[in-house]
Formats: sequence, structure tokens, C-alpha cells
Amino acid sequence: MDGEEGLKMGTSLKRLDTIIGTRQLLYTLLIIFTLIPMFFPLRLPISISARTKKVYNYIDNLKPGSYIFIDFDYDPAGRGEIEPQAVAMMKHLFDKKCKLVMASLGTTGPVMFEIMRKTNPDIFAGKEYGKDWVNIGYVAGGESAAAGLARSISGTVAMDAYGNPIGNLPLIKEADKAEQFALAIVFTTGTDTLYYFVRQWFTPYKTPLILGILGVMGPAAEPFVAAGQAVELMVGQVAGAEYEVLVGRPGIGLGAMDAQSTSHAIILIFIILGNIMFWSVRLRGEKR
Amino acid sequence: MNYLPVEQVINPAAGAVSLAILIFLSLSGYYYMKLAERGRTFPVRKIRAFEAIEEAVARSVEMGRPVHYTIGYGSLRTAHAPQYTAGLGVLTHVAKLAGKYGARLIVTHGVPEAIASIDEIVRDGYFSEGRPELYNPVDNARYLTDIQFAYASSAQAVIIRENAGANIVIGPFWAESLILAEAGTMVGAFQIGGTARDVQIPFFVLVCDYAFIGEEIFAAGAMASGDIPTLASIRGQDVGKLLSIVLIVLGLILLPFGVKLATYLMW
Amino acid sequence: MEMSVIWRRTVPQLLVAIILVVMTALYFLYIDKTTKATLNYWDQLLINYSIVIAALAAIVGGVDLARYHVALIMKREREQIPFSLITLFLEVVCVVFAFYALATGVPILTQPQFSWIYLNLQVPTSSAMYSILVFYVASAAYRTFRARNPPALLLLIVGVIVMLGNTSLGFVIWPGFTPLKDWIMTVPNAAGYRPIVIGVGLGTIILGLRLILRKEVTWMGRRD
Repeated sequence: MDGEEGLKMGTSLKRLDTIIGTRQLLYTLLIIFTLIPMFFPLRLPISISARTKKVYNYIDNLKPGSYIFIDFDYDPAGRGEIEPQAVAMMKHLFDKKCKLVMASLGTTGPVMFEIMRKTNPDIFAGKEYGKDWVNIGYVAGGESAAAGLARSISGTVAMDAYGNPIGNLPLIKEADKAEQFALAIVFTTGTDTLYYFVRQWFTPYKTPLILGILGVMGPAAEPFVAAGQAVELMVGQVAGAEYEVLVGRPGIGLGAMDAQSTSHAIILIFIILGNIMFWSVRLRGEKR
Repeated sequence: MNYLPVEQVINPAAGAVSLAILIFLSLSGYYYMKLAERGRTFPVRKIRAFEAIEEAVARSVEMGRPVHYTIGYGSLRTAHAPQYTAGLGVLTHVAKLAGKYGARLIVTHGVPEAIASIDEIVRDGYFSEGRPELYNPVDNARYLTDIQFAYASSAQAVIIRENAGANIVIGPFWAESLILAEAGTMVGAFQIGGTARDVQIPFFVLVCDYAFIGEEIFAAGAMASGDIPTLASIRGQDVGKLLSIVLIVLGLILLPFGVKLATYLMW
Repeated sequence: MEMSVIWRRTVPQLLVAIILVVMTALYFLYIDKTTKATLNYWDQLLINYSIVIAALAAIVGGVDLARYHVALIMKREREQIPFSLITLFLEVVCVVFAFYALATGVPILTQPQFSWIYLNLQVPTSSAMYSILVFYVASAAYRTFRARNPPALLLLIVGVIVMLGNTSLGFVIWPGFTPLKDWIMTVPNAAGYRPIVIGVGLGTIILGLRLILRKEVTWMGRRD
């Protein structure tokens, strides 16, 4: 190839690079390839990570009828990633006849809980409010609220989320403080909340913690597991999808896995194309 | 006088070792500040992101575009307050440069407690450089909201609609970091990012022209003051790093002997 | 020194310095049960004060927001007016709900009308903004994952492994991607993050020192 032809080739490659580099093209393809698997699932097999398996086994080995505390604390934006985890784990816990006490340290928690409950009514079927589960609702005060609930739930709040006096709930009479809970699960989109539970639940009372968090929070939460302060993490929507497989209740998490695969594939293809073009332009440029 | 045993004086949940480290670092920082006051000079590591700020402001003026600055959203009541303080520290530097070059500075934020400070800082920047006519409180300092994505979308709108020539984002940032940085990329702004929120650092490093990594934003606040003793306090930070490295190496050496240094540090 | 300078600069700086020292001491020290109870009382009092100050600052924020948007409407910038009108309208609505809450004693979060607004405006718009990140991550990845030099190549390889490890597509290609991703996240990644966290801690301590010594004054604005 002579110099002039090479140069022409270089410019057309550069033009192709600009076309592929335009946001509109990438964004459109992303939307299309995220939506397609939602309507036509590919049903790609998924592997179960050692991490999710560990959480599953931990819950599976709980004594039936154990008391579990759940901090229901994610915001609307985190619903897609965390709700699948919460639904699958709560199904597992209810199947194990565990009794669940829910509370939210964030204002958005109770709203997200109600959305979850309305969209997944089968989880709560046959479970009696007050005896099998209780929702305390929003508890103000951040870290001091976490500390208060650990000391005594009935001493911290007067009413549950539905206006019932806390003293009328049989479940709270049985499980009122951190020591009485076999496990505390924190579903949150706030890294600070993790510190609250490590400092106020694990450090003083040694209540085991499982943390259900967003994908981006993974690296920041990693040290809790390494230091033995948390049993394990459930990171992002992948963990939710894996748990859905384990409990045999495919839901939105698994459905979104295919979308995650196709969207990642699009991004990978763009990265590869970008690199091919970058290097062809560069090599041609150097030859001249 | 009878002495109380340690466990009755020091909160066991806080840890005596942590207190000792805190005191040791504060004293070493203080020591270097005193030395500097007596005229000793120390070489201070240059932070390229800090030096790039002047270029960013000057370029925006050349292009006739405004400089956008943000410290993020949230509340000064949380553990992230130091990062807002650092963001305000760098803002003094940016405001001065805006006065010096005659740039139009737009500060957006979602920290209600900082409204008065930001107003003062911007005003001071223009007035001290002799350009009071450029100061317009309604335009220069804009409180958006302290709700995360509402803040992110309106800050993004400001960057794009005002066609910012420079986009400087320093403070604690959460998921909105990439929204802010990509908005800057869309208008081709010169971008400088900085946060001590570990999870968000990679986004700034990848997308911005220059990035402050972690504790550099705190050092930048000291650099902005231009005061040599204040700058010398950073050496205390370096002593702390040295101590951490020594402890890590010591921990590794002791591990084969079955001694876990970390358990002793939890005291 | 002028009186106003003392009020504007020295007093706030001293307040910050004293509260920093007191809060640190309250965290680390306690003498006996009664002293501890007293200290906790003061600790809580300081926290409550900060809540009240933040709440009052939020009112200033509301006024600031309204002032800015009214100014935009007055300037008659046609493209901006619809946005400013919506913002102002919703701000007024929220203030009305707040007063209704004050008058009736029904907390704002449990008012059905407020819940409706929250569920049908706040929740979808927040989710939409968060979802936009997908596109931004994609375009940022496209631009930055270029094997320009050896470190960039390493970043590219690691990035691709983690991406594949997070999807079932990766599992279909090679089942080893998931454990490899887990190893990258728990070993090199954690090792990279910790020094940053340590550095931030050290930086915060020295920043606190400068605040106590009244050397960090830039955050206050005007110098004299």
C-alpha cells in the first residue's frame, strides 16, 4: 500500500472512529440491546459465585424460627439492583420459618418496602403480621437510631410503620434487642449505613451481618468481610439473580441478567472496535 | 491523687491505639508547622491537578466560556464534612483566579449550610482581585437542592446550557460523579475532579483531564491558602503514611510467627 | 482588631476549634457512669443543635432556589421559563404540605398526597437519572479503554475480565471468568483501595489539626 492510499485509509478510519464514537449510536444500540432480552429472554446459564453460595448456606443452616433483623434502606435508584436480593432472601427466610423484623434508617426505605411487598405478594402469603413479620418503618437518627434499635426496639420506637403501638406486636416481645437476633441483614444504598451496623450491631453485640449492596459499593465494603465484621456481601443485581436460582424463584433479577449480558457485550464490542481503529490509525501514522 | 485504670478513662469501642495515633500525628503536624514558622522550608510534593486549575480558568476566559465549580450535595453534619471543607478551600483559589482573569464563575451545590460561605468566597475572589463589577450573587452561586439525582440533573443542565469552559468538581461525590464529568465531556470542558470517596475516584481519573486522588483534596486546601506554615502541616500527613507503611511491613513480618499485629492495634 | 472582624472571623473559628476538640474528647474518653451520662447528654445536645442549624439552612436554600428561578423568569429566557415555573410550583407545593403537617400533626412522610408525589415524581425521576449512568459508563469506557501504553493495556484487560465476570455471557465463554473476577476484586482491588482510605484518614486528621489551630480559614470566605 503506498503512502497516499494509506493516508486515505487513515482518514476514513478516523471518520469511522468519529461515527462509532458519537454518543447517539452507542446510546441507541444500548437501549435496543437492553430491552430485547427483557421481552425475549435468552436464558443464558449463570454461574453461582462462591460468595452467594456462602450466604445461601449460612441462611439455610439457621435454626428454623430464628429471629432476623432487616434494615430495609435502599433508595429508588437502587431498586433494580437490591430488590431482587431482598425478595429472594426473604423468600428463603420465610421458607425457613424465620421471623423478620424490618426497619429503615433511611427515609426512602419504607416506600421501597411497600413497593416490594405489593409487587411480590406471594412472598408474604400465609404469613401473619405481628407474629411472622413486623415493619417498624422509618427510624430517624442515623447511627444513633441503629444504636437505639440494637439496645431495645420497643425503647426506641413507639409505633410501627402502620400505626400499631409497638407493645401490641407479639414478635417484638420475643425479639427486642440485637442479642436476640440470629442475623441482621442490611439492604442499603448508603455506604455509611454499613458502618452504623458494624459499629452498633456487630462490635458491641456480635450480631452476624449480611450486607446487600450496590455493585459500585463492593470495593468499599470488601474490608468488612476480610476483617470478619460481616459474614458476607451480596453485591449488585448479579447476587440477586444467583440467589433467585438458588431458591428456585426466578424473578426480575434473573430477567435482567440477560440484559446485563447484552449491554456488556455492546460495550465490549465498542471497546474492541475503538482499539482496532486507534491502533490502525496510529500504526499508519507511524509508517509515514 | 489516685489514678484511674485505662479502661475506665478511654472508651474501649474507640480504642487507645487510635487515640495515641491521633495525638502523635497531630503533634508531628504541629511540629512541622512550628518549624516552618521559624523559617525552615520544606519541599512539598507538587499536585498536578492543583497547578492545572489556573490553566483551566485562563482557557475558559480565552474561549469566552464560564467556569463551573461544584462541591457536591449533602450536609455538613456528616463524616463527609472535611471533604466539603476541602472543596471550599479550593474554591477560594478558583474564585481568586476568576477575579484575576476576569472569568465568569458559576458555583453550583446542594449544601444548604454552605450557602453563606460560598457567597462570601466568590465575592472575596472578585473583590480582592479588583473586579467587583463581575460579582453577581444570583448568577455566581447557585444552591440547587440536597436531593442526589435532582442535584445531579440540575448541575448537569448548568454545565451544558451555560457551555462551561472548565468544569471543576471537588468534594464528596456518590453516583453523580460520572454524570457531572460526562456533562463536562459533552461540552468539551477542561475538567478537574477530586474526591476522597474511594469508590468514585476511578471515574474522575478516567474521565477528567486532571484528578485529585484521595487525600490530595485536603492538601489542596492548604495549598490554596498560600501560607507556608499551613502547607508544612502536610508533612504530618506524610509522617502518618510512613507510620502506616512501617506497621504494614511489621505486620507482614510478624504474621509467620503467628502474631496478628492488627488485634493489638484494636486496643 | 475591629469588633466586626472578631465577630466575623475569630468567634466562628474559635467555635469550630472548641467543638472539634470537645467532640473528639467525647468520642475517646469517659471517666465513670455518671460522667459518661453527662458527656452523652452534651454530645447529643451538640448533634441536636447541628440538626436545627441544618434545618434552618435548608430554609435559606429554599429561598435561594426561589430567588434564582424568579430572576430567570424575570430575564424572560424563553427556553428556561418552563423549567423554572415547574421548579417554583413544586417548591410551593412542598411548603404547603409542610405547613399542613405542622397544622395537623400528620408527619409529611405519611401524608397520602405527599406519598403520591414522592412515588410518582421523585421515584421515577431519580431512577431515570441513575439509569442514565449506564450510557455514561458505556461512552466513558469506549473513550478511555484504549491500549495506548502498557498500563492502559493492563487496565483494559482487567476491565474486560471484570465485565465478563459480572455477566452470564462471560460464564458461557469461559466459566473461569467469575472466580477470576472475584479474585481481582478481593485481592489487587482491595489492596489498591486501602492505601487511599488510609491516606484520606490521615488527611482528615491533619485538616482537623489545621482547623483547631485556626490555620484552615479558607472555607469562611472573606479574609479580613
